[in-house]
Amino acid sequence: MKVINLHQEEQEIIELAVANNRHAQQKIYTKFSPKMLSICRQYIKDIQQAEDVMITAFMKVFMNLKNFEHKGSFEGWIRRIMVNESISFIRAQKKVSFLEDEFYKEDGFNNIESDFSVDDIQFLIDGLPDGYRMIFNLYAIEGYKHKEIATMLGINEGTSKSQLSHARSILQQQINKLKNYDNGTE
Amino acid sequence: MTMEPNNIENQFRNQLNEREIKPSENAWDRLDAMLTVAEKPKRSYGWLYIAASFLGFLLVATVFFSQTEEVIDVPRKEMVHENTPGEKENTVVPSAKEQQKTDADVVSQKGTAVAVEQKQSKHNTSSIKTVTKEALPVIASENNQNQIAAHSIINQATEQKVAQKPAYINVDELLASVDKPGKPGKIFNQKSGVKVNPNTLLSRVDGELELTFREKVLNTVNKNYNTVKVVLSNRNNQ
Repeated sequence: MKVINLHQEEQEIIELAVANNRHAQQKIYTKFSPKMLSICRQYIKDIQQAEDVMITAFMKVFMNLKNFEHKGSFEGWIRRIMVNESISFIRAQKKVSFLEDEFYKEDGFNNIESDFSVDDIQFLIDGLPDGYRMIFNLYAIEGYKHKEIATMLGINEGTSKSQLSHARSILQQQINKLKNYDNGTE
Repeated sequence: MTMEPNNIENQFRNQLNEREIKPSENAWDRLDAMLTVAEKPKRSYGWLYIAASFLGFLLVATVFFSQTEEVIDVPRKEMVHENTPGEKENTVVPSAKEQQKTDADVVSQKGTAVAVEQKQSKHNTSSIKTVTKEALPVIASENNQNQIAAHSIINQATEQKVAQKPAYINVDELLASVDKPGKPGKIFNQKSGVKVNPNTLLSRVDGELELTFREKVLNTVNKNYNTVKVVLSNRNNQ
């Protein structure tokens, strides 16, 4: 019952927001903005820029709210807009070029159990070049398939795979460094 | 190993998905301002279209009325010139020609007239076209001396009068050619330069004829409009 009530409440707020009710729009913003800023921050190192992108993406959310079909989750819908906006921001800022090499190892990380803090994780991801970070985020964090990533970025599926492989190997090196550093200090 | 996300990536995902970063205080205000800006034009679109169409109508109306005024003004002057004989005819002669009124020009133009004379005496049966072409420079030189006569030629535009003209000028031009002989090259140059003038003169005459027709129409329209106006005002007064 509670879930149904929540769902109804959300639907009402969305309808109000479609009619440009500023109070309803603010409610949606307040509810989702901390999570959405976190997502934008995954792709964009600079927090200020990430916030700018988030605001632009929220603009798009409200402008296109009438097109939202209440099929999937509302949060997922907003999240997709955030991801797309972040990607187009990075691509507009720097000409991210994806090397069209198709060499990739069918190889993940060593299954290290680790207790990284979220800041450590962000630090590791920040260390990746823009293109690698983008694909790593899309694949490993957002759970997109290589085919979807390829269409989103206009690249070959193989390129997406090879970029992920490169990203993983860089991350592996960084993790090993961190591990060694930790071991050294301990 | 496959490319599937592994343990460490799952850990990454879980931790990142739980993370929340609070936006800065003014972020909502900025979004609010952007939303306000985005909403405003939609509301005022209807009025904008009405205003734009009204402005467009005004523009078309002003252009239309200013054009009719011009048409009325220009031909009136030329009508006057046509009706009054003699005195105001210098306006018909191109002003550029007036400026070229130097002594050398007069002499050389006279020289051409002499040349025409000689040609005519030699070839009496030469084609009318060449006669008119070569005689018209004579008219141009005539304009300097006797503009009334020259203009009558242009207005009538008959070859017979053109042919008669050189005989009339003959004496003066012969004297002038005797006074300053020996510039044959210049004569030809001037000849070619002056040859353009007859065409422009003729075209002007044609233009005048057209304009007078338009003028007539506009005059009648104006007259009728005025009578209607008077009648209406009288009726209103009564």
